[in-house]
Amino acid sequence: MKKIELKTRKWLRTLFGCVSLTAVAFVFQACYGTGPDESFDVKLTGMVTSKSTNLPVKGITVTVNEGINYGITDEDGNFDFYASIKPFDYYKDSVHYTPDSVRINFLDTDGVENGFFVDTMIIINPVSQDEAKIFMELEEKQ
Amino acid sequence: MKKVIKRIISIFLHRIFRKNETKLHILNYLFWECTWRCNLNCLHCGSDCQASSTVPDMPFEDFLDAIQPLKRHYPKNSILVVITGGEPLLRQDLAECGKRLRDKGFRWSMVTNGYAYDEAMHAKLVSAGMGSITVSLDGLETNHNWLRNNPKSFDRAVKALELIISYPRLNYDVVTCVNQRNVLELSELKEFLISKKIKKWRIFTIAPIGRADESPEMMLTNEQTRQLMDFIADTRRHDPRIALTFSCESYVGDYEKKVRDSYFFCRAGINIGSVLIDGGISACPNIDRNFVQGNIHTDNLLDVWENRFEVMRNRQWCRTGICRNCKDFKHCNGGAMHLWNVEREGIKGCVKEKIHSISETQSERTVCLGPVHDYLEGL
Repeated sequence: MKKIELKTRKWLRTLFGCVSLTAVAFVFQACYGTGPDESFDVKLTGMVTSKSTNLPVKGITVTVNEGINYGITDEDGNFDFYASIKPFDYYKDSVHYTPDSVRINFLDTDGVENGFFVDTMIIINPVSQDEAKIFMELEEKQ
Repeated sequence: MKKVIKRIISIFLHRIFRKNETKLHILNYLFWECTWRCNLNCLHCGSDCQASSTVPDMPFEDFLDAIQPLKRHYPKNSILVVITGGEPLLRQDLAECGKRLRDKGFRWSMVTNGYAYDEAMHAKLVSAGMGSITVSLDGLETNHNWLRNNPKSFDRAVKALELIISYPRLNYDVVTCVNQRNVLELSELKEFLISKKIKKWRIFTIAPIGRADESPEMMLTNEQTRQLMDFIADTRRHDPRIALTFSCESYVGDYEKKVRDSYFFCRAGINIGSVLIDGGISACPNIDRNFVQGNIHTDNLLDVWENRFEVMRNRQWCRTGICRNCKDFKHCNGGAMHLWNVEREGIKGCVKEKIHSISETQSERTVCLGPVHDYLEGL
């Protein structure tokens, strides 16, 4: 397709979107497929270390939303997972500006091999991007 | 008169829109047939899959390598990868696959029978960024279990739905394959779904493909098909408790826009692509495999998408069999692609034809749409 034709057709596509005033023309579902995914979620990434040794801690379960979303730290103490948290921009643009805080739990759920750490909770505000980085130091159990 | 003019304009605009979309053919819906294994043995299965398939699952790396070129051509998160099978939940690495797709800038979703969807699986999948899911529920308990060929399948599917609706971030819907048994209990099924707080429900009839091709008792009669359309149209008009739609499996003549939000448009090969279990590149996985356009092991997926698929983008060849002289061809463009085989012997089933074979509907059609059709024929 020539460049000019391509541009025209893309412009026409945009026009259809505006005229229909909804996304109904573009939101479709294959017969045996699912609907679209247009919701918010945020990628939570980070690292968990030991407060006393400063070394990464493996086997810590990091959870939000009452444990529905979770990730487990690897050998290097890193974790990453997706969670349903509305980004800060969502609230900024909203008529009702009511940002929620997000509670993140760090739970030592594995066995003795990776040490014993105190379960800890922190609260963060909604994040501004589609990714949030969290660094956490955990205290060892006495 | 106003209604007729409005309808003429909207059909006319839809035709321009469809032509434009076909020319642009922007890929934003990609099936990945990740396995042929399945934990059920449904009587109507379109993919003819097996409990322990001899065909190995596709390694995720193969799929990921194939879709990498798409990243250069399409914006981040603009393509939805729809994981299907077989039953995707049988893949041990499903959550890991999904998470890596999200990390690479693809949204992902899944079609499932819900049998293996428990709390642990739910948490794993939503933490991997799954954004949409479709669960099959083919009637109330007795009829669902009959069709799914398993006495526990209804309870498991309902349990899966309870978990899914508890997580508002997920877009979901329930799909029901309507057959001669469950067509009589659709009202009860609707009430059941509403009682479970289900908001979206999609219905399709069983296509004469896969195992269903050998079971004519699953196909609705013409009268039942018309009753089904009336049920959907009536629910959409009068019952705001649930959003019911008829799937895009077929053009439905006068019922267009009454049973779904937009006019029929088969987007196979236009916006919908697929990577099949053997690496074949096609559109919807239930389309005749002889229509495959390439293979990820030998071809570049983006190149195939951009330069092939002519058979799905120009459907004039569909003017054969009952479509040859059909006045509605301009609207349906040969109907759903999965109802054709590569021999091009004619469409395997036409819902519009079934509905309109009922004399009562035909007389209604003359009154409602006659002028529209006559006008559009002249364009």
